[in-house]
Formats: sequence, C-alpha cells, structure tokens
Amino acid sequence: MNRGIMKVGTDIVRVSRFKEIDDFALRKIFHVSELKNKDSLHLAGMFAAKECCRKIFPKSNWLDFEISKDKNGKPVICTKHCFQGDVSISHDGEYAIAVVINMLT
Amino acid sequence: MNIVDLIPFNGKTAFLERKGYRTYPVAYLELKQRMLKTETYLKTKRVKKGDKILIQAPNSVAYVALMLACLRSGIIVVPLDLHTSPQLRKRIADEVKPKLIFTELGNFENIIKDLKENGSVPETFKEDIAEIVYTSGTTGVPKGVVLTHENIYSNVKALKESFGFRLKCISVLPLSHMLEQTVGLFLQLSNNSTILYPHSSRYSELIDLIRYKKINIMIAVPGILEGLKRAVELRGKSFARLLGWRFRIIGVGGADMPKELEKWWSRRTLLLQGYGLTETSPLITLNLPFRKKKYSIGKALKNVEIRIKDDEIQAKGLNVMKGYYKKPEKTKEVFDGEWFKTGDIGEIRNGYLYFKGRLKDIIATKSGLKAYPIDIETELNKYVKESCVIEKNGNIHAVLIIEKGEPKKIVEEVNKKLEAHQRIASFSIWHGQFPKTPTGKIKKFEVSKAVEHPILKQKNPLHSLLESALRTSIRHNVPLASVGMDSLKRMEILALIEEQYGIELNERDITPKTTAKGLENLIKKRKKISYYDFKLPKLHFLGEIIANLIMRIFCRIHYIKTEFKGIIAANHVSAFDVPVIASSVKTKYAVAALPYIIGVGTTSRYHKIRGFFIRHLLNTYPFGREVGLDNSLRFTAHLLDEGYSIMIFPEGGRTTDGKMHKFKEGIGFLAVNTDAEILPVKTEGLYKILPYNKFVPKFRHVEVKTGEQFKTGKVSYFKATELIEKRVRSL
Repeated sequence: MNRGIMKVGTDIVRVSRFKEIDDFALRKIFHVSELKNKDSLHLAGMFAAKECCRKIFPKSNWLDFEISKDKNGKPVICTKHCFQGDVSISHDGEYAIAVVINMLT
Repeated sequence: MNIVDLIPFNGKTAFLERKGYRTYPVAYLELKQRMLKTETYLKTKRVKKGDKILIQAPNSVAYVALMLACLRSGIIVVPLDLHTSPQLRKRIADEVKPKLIFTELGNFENIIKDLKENGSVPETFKEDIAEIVYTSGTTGVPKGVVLTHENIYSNVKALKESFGFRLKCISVLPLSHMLEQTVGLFLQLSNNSTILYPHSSRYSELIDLIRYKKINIMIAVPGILEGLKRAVELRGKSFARLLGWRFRIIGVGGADMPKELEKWWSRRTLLLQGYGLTETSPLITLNLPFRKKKYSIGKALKNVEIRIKDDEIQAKGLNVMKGYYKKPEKTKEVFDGEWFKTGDIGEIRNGYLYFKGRLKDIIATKSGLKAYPIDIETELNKYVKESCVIEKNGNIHAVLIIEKGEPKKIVEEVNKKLEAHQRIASFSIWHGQFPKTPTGKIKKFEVSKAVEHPILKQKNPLHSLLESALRTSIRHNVPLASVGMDSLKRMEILALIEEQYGIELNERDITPKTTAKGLENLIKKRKKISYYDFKLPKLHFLGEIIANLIMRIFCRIHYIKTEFKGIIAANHVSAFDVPVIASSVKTKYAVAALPYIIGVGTTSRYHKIRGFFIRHLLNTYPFGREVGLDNSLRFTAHLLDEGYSIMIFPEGGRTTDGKMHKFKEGIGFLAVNTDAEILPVKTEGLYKILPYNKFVPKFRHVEVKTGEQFKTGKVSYFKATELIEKRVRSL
C-alpha cells in the first residue's frame, strides 16, 4: 500500500434542509439506489458523507460516490476513485455530521 | 347510475404511465382488471358501500383504479390536495371519519397484483354520495362539498355530447381538483382517449413530452398556461416546433384568465374557456369549439340553467351539489331556493357568460360607490406584469409586480382612464410571485397582510430565482457564496435554472466567486447549443443502406442473428462498427454519440462536415452534457418507448491501439435510468480492416459476438458501468 499523505474530510449539514428539497435537485446529488429511502435524516447523513469525499477529491462529482450500508448497518463508500479508508456518520436532532478518512493518495 | 358505466373497456390505450424516464401504455382492459382487483382489496379491508376513504397522492393509474373501484361499489371518495398539511388532513379526517387513508400509492400495484378479480358490487343510485371534495377556498376553513353520482354523471354526459372526440390528453392538474376529474379524467375515459400522467410539473419535461407523445389536448388553469408561455418564450423557438403541431386544444378554467394570456394562447391553439366551481362538479358554462366567443367564459351546459341576480351568477341543474358536509348553515347561505349562488359577478350577453369578479371582492369605497377590483386590475395589467387590488383603510390600494417603467407614472396613467370612484389611492410593489391558491387565484387576504411591510425595487427573472432559493436579496456583483450559497444550495439553484431555462450548467463552472451576473453570462453562453432539437434524420433508412453496402464490400461478417430491444453496448473500433453490429442484431436502431462527434456544439468546420455524414449515414443523435443530460436521456427513453434499440459505444471514442478502453459512465447512467435490457456485443477483426487514423479499408473477416441480455437494476452508475464492461470483456 502506498502510504502517502493521509487525508481527512468532514462536513456538517442541517437536517431540515432536506425536508423541502426538490426531487430533481436530489437526483443530481444521489444515485437512484441511494434514493430508495427519502427520509430527510438519511439524506442529510449521506449528503454530509459525500461532501467529505468531495473535499478529499476536489475534482470529483457528486455521483462519483455511492454511500451504501454493509450487513451491520455501517455506512460504506463505493467509488471509482482511489479510495481506501473509512466513513462515519452521526446525527443529533437538527444536524448531521460525517467524517471520512482516506489513506491512499 | 354510475360514472364507470360510461367508460368503454376495450383494447385501446387508456393511460401512458410514466415510471422514471420511461412510458408504459396501460390498456382499458388492464385498467378494468386493476379496478376489479382493487375492489377485492377494499372488500378484504372491510370497506363497504357508504364508507369513506381518503386519498392524498399524486396522479397515477393506481389512483384512478382506486377511485373507479370506489365509485363503482358506492364507497365515498375524499380526495385531498397533495399540499394539504398533515394538521389539516387530520382535521378533515376527524370530520369525515374515513375507513382507510391512502397517502402512498407507489406500491399499490404490487399489493393488488395477486388478488382475484371481484365479481359483484352493490348497486349505486343517483342520490348516493360519490365524493366529498374539500375546496381550496380563497378564505377561511375548507368546506367539504358533497357530490352525488348524478352530479358527476350529468356533468360528464353533457360534456360528452358536445365534445366526444378521441384524443391524447396530458394531465397537469391534480386529481383532487374537480376540473381534472370531470374533464381531464372521466370525460377522456368515456371518449376512449389516452391520458398521460407526466409525474413532474417541470416545464422543460412537459414541453418534450407533449411533442414526443403527440399530445392533442391539455386541461389547465391559467397559472400553468402562464408558466408554459414563459417557458416557450425563454427558449426563443416557435410554438409548433417546441410543442408539435398536434398540440391544438386547451381547456382552461379554475381561475380568471388575464386577457393578454388568453390572446397569446388563442392565437396558437383552440383555447376553450369554461367556468364552474367544485360545488357544481364543476362545469357550469363552456365555450365550445367553433362557437366560442372572445373573453367569454362560455354558454351554459346542457341540464344547467344560469341567471344573474343582483349581479351574481346563479346556477341550477343536475350538477349542483347536495350541500356542504356537516355544515347546514353554510349550505343555506349559498342557496337561493333551488339556485346555487356562486359568489361571482357576471353578465350574460346573447347567452354567453362574462366574468367580472368575485362578489366578496367588491370594494365599497368611501364615496359609497362600489368598485370591482377586476376592472382596475385589467387596466393595470396593460402596464405591469401582474397586479392585485385590495382595500386598505377604505381606500383602493394596488399591489404591483412591475417588469419595466416607473410605478408612480403607471398608476397616474391608469387613474386617468378609471372612473372617479375606481381611482387608486395608494400602491406598493410586490416581490416575486403573488401567493396563490392551487388553482391560481391570488390569495388576496395574504397579500393585504403582507403589504404592511412593502419591499421596493423590481428584480429580473434570474434574480428572483436566486432570491427564492437563497432567501436573501441579491445584488448582481456580489459573489453568491457570500450570501449563503453552499454546495447544497448550488445544486438546488442548478436544478431551478434547468427547470426554468431548460439549460444544464456544469457544477464546476460555478465557483465561490461567481456572481449573479456571471451566472447570467453562463446561461447566455449555454443557450445556443442547449436548445438542440432532438430528432432522428428523416432519411436514415437510405443512410443505413449506403453504410451497409460500403461495409459489405470490405467485411466478411460471421455472426448469429439475435432479436433484441434495448441498449446495445459494444466496443468501438472503427467507423464500420455500426453497420456490422446492425446486421447481426434484428432491430431498428439509433446510435447515441457524444455531441461533438456529430457536429453539435463545435465550431470546427471539419467536425461539422464529418458530423453531418455520421448523423445521416449512421442514424446518430447526440448524448451528453452539452445538449443537457436530462434532455438526451428523455429522448433516449422516448426512442426506447417507440421500439428502437439504442446502440452505444461506452468507451467514448475509437480505440487507438486495438485494445478495449475503460468504459465511461454514460452507459451506466443510461442503463439505470431507462431500466432497459442490455445486450453486450464485441466485435473482433475490425481493427485490421480500418484502424484509427487510416482511411483506406482492407478486405478481412469480422466476428460479432453477442452475449446474454441482462438488466443492471437500481445500482449506482459506476457499478452499472463496471458490470457492463465486465460482460463485454468476457465475450
């Protein structure tokens, strides 16, 4: 493994912003597979995680990343970019926050 | 007596149901099947005749099937507007006490799929209640309008007698609106017409759908016509080219239509204005084709009588409601003996009715004379975009939405033309759009509440778009990032721009430094190529023959012919790819190519000339961000609906070294969104015939390998791309 510089990205977003968002705008940010559940809490968490990824890969698009869940319900990032790392999402009432670490550069 | 008796259930197409980007036909027979299965479902839920069910869902075939099932078996339907708040829904539910509440019908089809069809239903009589419709109401608490089977039946029957054509109809109003139910649904079904439910109210999508699906008729309210007009004007193309020459009839009602708007639409289509209220289920008068009068709201329908009493329009007939639900004193208020008081002011000339305003809207001025706001508004609307006249401290106050000109001068000018008692005493400027009811009437009480704090200055359309998205005021040279544009807002703004202008901007072009002015320039730059007319070349069969002949001279093809409809994904080696693959797959096809390859969006003359040949010989259309991903996706889905196969070379260009390159994500995007079958195809030997950068072909053998067809399902775009690439490589 190429141990270059480790990169980290973090993002916080208000959950209520996803309550009245247009469906068309959502489709520009999320994959069809991610939009199966349109709960605003879920969307906010995924959005925060995606924003983290975009901070790590500044030239990427929203749709380059897919946030899915493994057997235990832990979020996992699938991407075509050079990624080997971890993601953590958390929310409390009004806000959702995510942290992503990438160990490959 | 039942509305379902009027519907002929035969093999013709009843609905074009949209799922994502695709459209699937639903025949009348299938509609009947679904209706009968829904009846069984209701039976298992122990909903009996006389019970009520509440529906709050977007228009869909499942909704219609549910409604028809209820009406046939005498169950009372309570349709609610989609925007009704949960609190209000609860209040209404407390009042009517429904057995079932449907708020989500997306999965309903699967629920009823395995049920048996129901046999017998209890008979319904004409006095039985069919629906309780809650009116949006310009003021106060909503009232439930009780409509009987006879009310609806007589209205549809009267309409059918004068308007019995089989047409293709696009539905843009919610089914909770009586106009949509009677004219947009029951009338069309009884005429054996086809109805398209578009799923979205975005004008760029509506315009494309109307053209692609060859729609003839639309039932709308003035607000929608206004929006469609603006969308047509923003695109700067002729009406017929955008919407197709078949789009000919517009039925309009629900709110008063501004004269200028009526003129604009009458010039381009047959605009038929009607008048009615939910209480009259809903039509009272209608302009009939070839017998319409300008600015009139039409002649009374059969079985309906109208009269004017104290300026007020009153109606009597089979279509007038029983009364308001559990509100006898309100019911008493609106009836004058047998006559229903509409609360609207009108005039009858030669049997034609003319609308003059709401009764309650009359402003009693200090002079004791009464002023009709609509008269003043008509005069004002000649100068301003929109206006709303209200009473303020006993004076006439005008609220204006101005596009150009000095408001003070306009008001002075208008005042000269008005009668003394009509003169405007004060005015204020309104920002953006007036608050409106779902049918497009201005909510005057909200306007009058808001004018306490008037905001001055008028903005251009992009500014008001940005303001509504960012919820602050915008100045043209201030970076948008400094007034609250973050990454999420940026996507919302991009979506809004795409919706209004039909232009897709690249997200990366918008930096934190972008100002409103910069955004405007970006839009201007994009406008030229974004409004591409998606069309296949007309003489493509000639092109196909020519391309095939040339290819046959050089190639000896070995293949097993397969029959297929869907997306063909193949590796790209040379210019002969298309005819070689086309000869091995039995289908009619179109090729999706990057825009610059077929000479769209480039300035280079070489590309343009080459593009001309590629387009005509190989039956190509552009697919890519330059012409709008959404637009090209919509066209692709349309081609798939029409039975075409889409050939696509996902590598994004010819191979330069004979090896297969990595696939680009376009194919995954296409596969996931169109939900089509995919056929992986690999050609071998073509690189020796006509390699990259060579112009003289050699005589060689070619082998075409086709794999098994498959669907990607709902996965992410890059996963779908990987999957397809793996399948093609494994051949």
